[in-house]
Amino acid sequence: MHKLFTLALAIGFVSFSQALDYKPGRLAERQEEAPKGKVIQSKWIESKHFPGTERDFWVYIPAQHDGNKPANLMVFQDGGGFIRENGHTRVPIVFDNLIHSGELPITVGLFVNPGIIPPAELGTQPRKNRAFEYDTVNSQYANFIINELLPHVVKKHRLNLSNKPSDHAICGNSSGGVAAFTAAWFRSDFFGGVISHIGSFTNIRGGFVYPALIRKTEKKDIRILLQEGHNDLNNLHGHWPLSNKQMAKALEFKGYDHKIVWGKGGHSGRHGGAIFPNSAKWIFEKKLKQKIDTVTTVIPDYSFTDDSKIHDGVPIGKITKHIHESKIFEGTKREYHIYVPSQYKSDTPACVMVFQDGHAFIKEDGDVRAQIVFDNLIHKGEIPVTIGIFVNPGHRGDKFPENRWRANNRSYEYDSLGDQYVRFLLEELLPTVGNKYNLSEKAKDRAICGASSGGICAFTAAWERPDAFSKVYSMIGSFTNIRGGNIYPSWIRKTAPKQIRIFLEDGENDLNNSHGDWPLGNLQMVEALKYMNWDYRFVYGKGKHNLRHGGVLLPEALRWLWADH
Amino acid sequence: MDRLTITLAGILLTNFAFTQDMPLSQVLMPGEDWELISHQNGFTDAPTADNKGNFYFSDMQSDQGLFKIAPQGKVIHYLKRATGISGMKFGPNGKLYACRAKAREVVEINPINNEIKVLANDVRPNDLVITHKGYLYFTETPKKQVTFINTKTGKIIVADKGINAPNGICLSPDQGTLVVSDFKGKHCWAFRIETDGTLQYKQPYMTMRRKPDPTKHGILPNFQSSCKGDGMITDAYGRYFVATELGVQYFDPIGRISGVIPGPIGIKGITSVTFAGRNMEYMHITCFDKVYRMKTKTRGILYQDGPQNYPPKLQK
Repeated sequence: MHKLFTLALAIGFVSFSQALDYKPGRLAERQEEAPKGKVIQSKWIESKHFPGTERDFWVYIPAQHDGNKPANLMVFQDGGGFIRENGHTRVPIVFDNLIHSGELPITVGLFVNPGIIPPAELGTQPRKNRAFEYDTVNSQYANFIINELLPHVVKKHRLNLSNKPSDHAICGNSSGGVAAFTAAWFRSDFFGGVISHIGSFTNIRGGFVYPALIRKTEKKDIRILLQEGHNDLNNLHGHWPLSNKQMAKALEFKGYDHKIVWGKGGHSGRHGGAIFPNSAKWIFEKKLKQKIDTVTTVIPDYSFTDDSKIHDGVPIGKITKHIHESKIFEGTKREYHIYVPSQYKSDTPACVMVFQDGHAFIKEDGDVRAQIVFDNLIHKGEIPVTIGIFVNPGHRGDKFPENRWRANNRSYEYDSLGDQYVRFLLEELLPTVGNKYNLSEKAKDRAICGASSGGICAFTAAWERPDAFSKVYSMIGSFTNIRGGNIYPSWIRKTAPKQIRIFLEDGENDLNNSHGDWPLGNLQMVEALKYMNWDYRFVYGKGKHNLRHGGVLLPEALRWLWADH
Repeated sequence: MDRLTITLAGILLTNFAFTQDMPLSQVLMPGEDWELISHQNGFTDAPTADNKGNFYFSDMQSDQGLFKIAPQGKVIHYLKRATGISGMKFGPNGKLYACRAKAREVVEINPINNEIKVLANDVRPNDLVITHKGYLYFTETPKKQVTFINTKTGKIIVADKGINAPNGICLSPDQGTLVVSDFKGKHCWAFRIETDGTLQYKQPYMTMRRKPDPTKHGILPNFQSSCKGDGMITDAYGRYFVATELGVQYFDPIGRISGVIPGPIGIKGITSVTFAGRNMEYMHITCFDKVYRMKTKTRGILYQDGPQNYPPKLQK
């Protein structure tokens, strides 16, 4: 007991020392001249949208509300925390002061707690509905507020509310923050402003999808303020700071009115509370000034090490070219090359490494030159005797495209989640190669590699079949929403770790497009792998979306991947 | 001291210490993996445990029916004539309650004299639970129905209609909440158990992870409509476990998916999950012809022991 108490104190003080930096400011202190609005507390027990739930809620009506001029509205999740005059945000005091000074329009506040379904009997626990209401990605909570609770409040207190979405904002902390965004996202016909503090844009119940949704959905008329702390949570549900970064990046990409306020805090409402007076003013401001930052970066010239160069006396492996017609990807053809090192002996099973977009990895003057790297490392005994299979993506049609990256079945094969591509490898391609060469069947002898969509493809293959591939090298991997690959960090955090060794490479200047932000996608992967104690390495350079850095790193990646051999 | 208390309370309130997170690191034990404990069966299901930690399961295709494994023991036959059982639990009175799917009956078996009493016939039972009050709930998968038998009075009523394929069924540790998995849908559904045994406030409280469906493509990836949610069990901390085609998935007490534990490589599927063992620390799964167990950091509970407070107090 004593130990527990000490621990609680220690945790308390860590949070406390962080929290000390942020305090409610002058505008959250009572000013005598500002008239006090009314706060009315009630209970809501007959919910149609969430049957069986009960909850407290509060209505704040400014003294200046006289029913003649339509008022603005701000809704708060976890309302009980925002209404308290000694709490983290102290909204009634802030509103009194700002409305009095004319800095904020007359604004009604609706402060709502999450529901609970009380127990039927003493001694049993209530069913807590907070995560269900706040973290679920759908319109249910917004509809509850807009169609159920608000009409009651308007009627009961004879409120005159503006009907413009830009006059309606919604605010919350943590899951209440993602709930605010969700409400506006699904009901942008009603909510035009979102204030999210330490928002849970993570995988509590799927909320990590918003950056992807924002990028691929027609821009909605919503203004968003995000507050986030560099020391916020990193747990089974996700990485809060990275996820908020992804939100801001997506909003920026799509041209939303938004801002993100970074602090040093952890998962606490204090920073959001401290800046709230400015946030409230900003969210209802009529016109915003646009600010455009331009950043120039210098990308280093990545150059090959000796291991990627041809040396006299090093035996050269044999490369043969083949064509495969697929059954699983019916109607497609693809070229592939087999690299067989000169050290290969047919009585000893060879290790295997499969490269997606194979053409790019064995191009003689290319950015990778894997065959030379294999020759050198096998000769030096730094990696085992390995047969390389360099397979192109499938293509439908009579002629392969000049640019082999443009094979028309590539995205479907590489970016899709699920086991169909690895089945193609295990049921079609490897058995075909295995008819000619003695390939090891053991997972520890088999590696898979690719770049961009080929990178995520390599990961997907090992994820689905860790019994078939235990080593992965992903260059500039597309852990973005081309076809849902941004889900992996969320899955990794909530799946028993798999026996896979993975080397990842990406660059700060990698892509940022409608599918996502590549650097943030890779950083999310790395944080998730770290959180679950996977066997991984990550090299983060400055490069763009090309194979240069990843190619230069191939010898290092291979040595590391086979170091356990 | 007063100030300290206030400060601590303030910190708790501002730090959103609402619910305990329940990551896999609290369940998985380093170095532990699935261990095969029975094989060459037909179709295994209905795993359960008694209060000595003994583990029981059914082979629905065997003439023998039920099997028992003591914590460190071998597989032995258990009871006679108890064949074709797809779900079973011991009741608070020591009797074994079972769904006999093929015989279309729910039965009460007295393990002492092997007497079998039929509680309901002409039903389509799949799996069941029984509370400390003797309230028995069983899923009738093809009828999309959960049925309630008050074993004290013998009264049988329809408790719920409408889940696509109600299959697994379990209780919160305090026995106030009933949860049912859907074999042909994405949710596990929560109900409040009323004092008279009826069910109220049905809610799709838990959403299971499903396999992707790459043939359909939208802005976000599509997932299959179900992951074959099957047998369920709870642990002492209030986690809900469900057997699915992706492995054993578990949810925290507020319905948030918190972990997926894939089954052993090469199995045909997982039909159910339960805890057994001397300290109830072994997770057991029935996988068609095979049965496996894995030592965990958590521990199961036995509904027959009555309502439990959860999460449990720390042990000294």
